[in-house]
Amino acid sequence: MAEEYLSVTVDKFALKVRRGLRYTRDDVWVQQTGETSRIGITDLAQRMGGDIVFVDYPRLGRFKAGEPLATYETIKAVLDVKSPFDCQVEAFNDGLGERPELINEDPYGLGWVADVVATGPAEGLLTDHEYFGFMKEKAEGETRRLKGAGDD
Amino acid sequence: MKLRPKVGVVSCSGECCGLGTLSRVATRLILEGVRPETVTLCLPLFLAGDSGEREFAQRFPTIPVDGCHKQCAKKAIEKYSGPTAADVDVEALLNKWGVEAPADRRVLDKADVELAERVAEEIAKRIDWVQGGWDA
Amino acid sequence: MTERVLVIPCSGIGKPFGSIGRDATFRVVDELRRGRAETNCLSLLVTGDEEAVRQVKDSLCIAVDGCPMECARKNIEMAGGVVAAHMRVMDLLRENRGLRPREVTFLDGDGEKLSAILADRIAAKVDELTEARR
Repeated sequence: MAEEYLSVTVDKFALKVRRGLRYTRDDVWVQQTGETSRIGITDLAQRMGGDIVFVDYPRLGRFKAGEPLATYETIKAVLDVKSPFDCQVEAFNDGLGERPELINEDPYGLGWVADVVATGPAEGLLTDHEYFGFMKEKAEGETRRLKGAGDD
Repeated sequence: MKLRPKVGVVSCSGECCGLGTLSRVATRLILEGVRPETVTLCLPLFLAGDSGEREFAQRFPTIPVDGCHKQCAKKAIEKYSGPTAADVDVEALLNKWGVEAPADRRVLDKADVELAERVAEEIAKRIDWVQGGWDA
Repeated sequence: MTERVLVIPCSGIGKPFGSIGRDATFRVVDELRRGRAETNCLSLLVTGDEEAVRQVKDSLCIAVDGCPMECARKNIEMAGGVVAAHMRVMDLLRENRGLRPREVTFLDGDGEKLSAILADRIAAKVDELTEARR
């Protein structure tokens, strides 16, 4: 099970990147299975956002790359799940309505956000190792920023 | 060049009396401004959480801030992680200073908040001592 | 079994939820249901304090947790206690979507409001549990 993830510890938090998925710099993961892709937010995104209280889906249908296809709300902010590529959303994870904390508990599994079908090229996606490097820099930078602001 | 190691702080946050509230507030003041580079660990997570708290306290110097002589934070760190780097016993500090613990465990008045700031300074002294610096 | 209900908050120090649960617990045991509900340090359960463990086993417990880590519930159960009721501050926040508590050290206005709502819920549960026992 431990080899399923690339992992780094920043302060007391172990941040994980699941192997075999693709990623965006907007902290979205993509699991392609045939024509359909399942997407969600990464461990880093859920950790930085905090405890998720609500998840909202505006609509099914078409979204452009970078367009928010869902939002999740924590006590800190309302944050976007940005579409990784031009796509058609086929389904959202209904389980998140009752238990939005599934994203915090299992961001790569039960906390998935949407099933989509690409309507344009899936370009610029990062490999797991590429995203891992990106994630480490971002996490360490954020830790330095928060320590300066006195936040936990 | 001096390297300052990361330091964890664990407050008892005990609910039984004002001493727990004082410990909690003093620890929060450390995090919020007095020494913002410290990492605050949640005591209940030592037992109920994943291993993050326990592993941090194993790897980095960690200071318990205990409200009273029962020293729950110190005992938890020693039980689940290892020896503590330095200790703060708030009850002992108050006895030394000749001051009373807060009467209300929910709401601290102005004098209680000033007392928490004083305790925070004591925590800061221990953090500075632990972080005395390693010559690179 | 004792007459009084034991309310144990998680008192999580990293998030407003922990402070809200702690504050609400004090409202109940010190004001709203004084003499009928009591609290004790969750820290004592973490260290396995014999007296605290005995008290938990001998009482009907209400666990008040800030977040899905559920430290209060887990520590009570690990000590062999019965969680007669479990409340999570996050669930209450979802019922009160307009509130945005941000402060941890000293509750802000929204934190105070949520604490008051939670305290009423806990008090009602204390009544329910003590009534059921009669």
